[in-house]
Amino acid sequence: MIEHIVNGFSLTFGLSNLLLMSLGMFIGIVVGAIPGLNSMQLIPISIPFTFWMKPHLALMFLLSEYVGSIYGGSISAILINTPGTPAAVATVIDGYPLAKQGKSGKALKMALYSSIFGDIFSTCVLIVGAVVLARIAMKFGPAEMAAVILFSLTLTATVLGKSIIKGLIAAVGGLILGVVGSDPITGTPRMMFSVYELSQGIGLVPVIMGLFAVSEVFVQLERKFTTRKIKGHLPESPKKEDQRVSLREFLSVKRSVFLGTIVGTFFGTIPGVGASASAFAAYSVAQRTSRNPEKFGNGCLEGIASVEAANNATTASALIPFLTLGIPGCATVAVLAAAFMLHGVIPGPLIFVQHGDVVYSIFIGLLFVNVLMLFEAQLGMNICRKIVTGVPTGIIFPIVFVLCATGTYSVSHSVVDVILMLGFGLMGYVMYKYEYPAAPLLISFILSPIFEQAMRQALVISHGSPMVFFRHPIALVFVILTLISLVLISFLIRR
Amino acid sequence: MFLAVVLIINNMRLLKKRSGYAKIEESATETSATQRGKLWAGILVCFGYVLLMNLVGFLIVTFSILVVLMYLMGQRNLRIIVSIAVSFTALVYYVFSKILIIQLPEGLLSF
Repeated sequence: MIEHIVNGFSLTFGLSNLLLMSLGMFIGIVVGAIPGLNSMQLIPISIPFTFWMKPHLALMFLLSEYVGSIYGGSISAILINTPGTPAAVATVIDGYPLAKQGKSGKALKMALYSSIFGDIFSTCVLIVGAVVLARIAMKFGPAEMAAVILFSLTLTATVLGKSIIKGLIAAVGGLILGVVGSDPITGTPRMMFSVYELSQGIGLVPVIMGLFAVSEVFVQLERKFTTRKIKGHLPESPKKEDQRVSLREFLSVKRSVFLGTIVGTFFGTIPGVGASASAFAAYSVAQRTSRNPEKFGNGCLEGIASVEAANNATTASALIPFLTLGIPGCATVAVLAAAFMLHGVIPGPLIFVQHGDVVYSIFIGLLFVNVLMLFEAQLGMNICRKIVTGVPTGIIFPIVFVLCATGTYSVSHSVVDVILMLGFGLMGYVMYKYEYPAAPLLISFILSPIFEQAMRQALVISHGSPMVFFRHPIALVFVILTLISLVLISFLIRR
Repeated sequence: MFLAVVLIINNMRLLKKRSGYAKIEESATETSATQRGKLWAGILVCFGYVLLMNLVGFLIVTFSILVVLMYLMGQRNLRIIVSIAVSFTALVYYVFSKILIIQLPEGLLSF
């Protein structure tokens, strides 16, 4: 383990890694600040460009984009009253009123410092939690693995969407899509409709590009033409102390920051609860425990601090179930999972054995990326103030489409994949229209082969008896938890 | 503990529903005939792009789809459209074929 940590350090602090991390951070902040674009589009588009990199470089680049985009979303939330990413929806509540008072600099800095605090704390939790959990997960057999995946699929399907049925339909759709290709045990071709290109299964790249980026292009095509003009100028207070956060101010909101961090870290680990949901939860917790709750909503620092600490805290802790069990809990982590798999770093308990150096370099990199954020955020803020918020969607989305199509083509050199990407784009658009959540589909598509293999291995061991899922205590616990969560959640939502 | 989690999630949903801020994400989705027309045109153009890519070549189709999509999405300034389409096509072609060394379909413009 020590040698992995030492190797991790040397991988992280290589010159090319530092440059790529700061580039990724910068791109992430800028793209996160553009309303309508976030890491869900950015990471799929970036994946083809990372193919020439070594795995640790590529993954750290993508993770920096991920962390940066969460902060970038709050810039446009504060400056133009429109969240750049769903995670920043709750930042608007207090961020924009504060900016209207002429204190946009203070709001942005507060968001930055609490983001960094939340991120560092949850990265520490990630490091400790992942190492401990991976030890336990090493003892999981196929039956336990199948039960755990079943449980987390049920949670993501039921929590992520507006309706349970639609979420479950999306999840089952993902499982079916994952079946295309060759049977993992007997090698029989399944559901390929004599298309040779499908014999390896449906590629990850067309699915993520189509579902999240191309569908967004279609959604934007249908929008009314709107020229986003910022009405008037935000007042800018000339006083210096209104544009920065003093140490005393930061200490005065320490309770909100800390609560937000705890809430974000905790919710990040549960499959299905994303950054935006945990930000709302942190906001309500901060408001309830605050000494002056009536100030919330009128530009109070505590509100910004709790929300930003929470949404950045989920970024690292969402990696815990992903790295140790291979289960992505939210859509962005699912896209990252695709990137990990394409680079041959298969997440799961064995990742610490097979790719120990990569994992530790990711841990160290995630801590260090916050230092980069501290320096680059200022640059990002200035750029976003001037350019980003005024770029019309009519220019951005055609470019997004071309990048998707070319990127997909470059990965597999086949037009079939590009057509598939378009098909998934249409599917994503239809799902958006009828309010089917896309995230459960992607998550269950990614987990489908692993789930199938675990389940069939368990059945082979038990000579076909399904009792194997009830005889192993850990598996039994997760099967029962699945049933309880289904019943409970459907009961709670009906009321 | 599990119960507590479920309760908190439920609370969050209620909070989300109550606060007007969550609605900002999806506001302008009312569809009229022209908007649907734009969507269909866009989808057709995208499929045409993919099918013609091998036949006509990457550079020409990419330039044309950028022009058409920008027009459909509301850009009307021809000078901006053409200059962005030309420069971006050149940039993508350069990055993919010279830096990432990927054979893009040349089509009519084989050189």
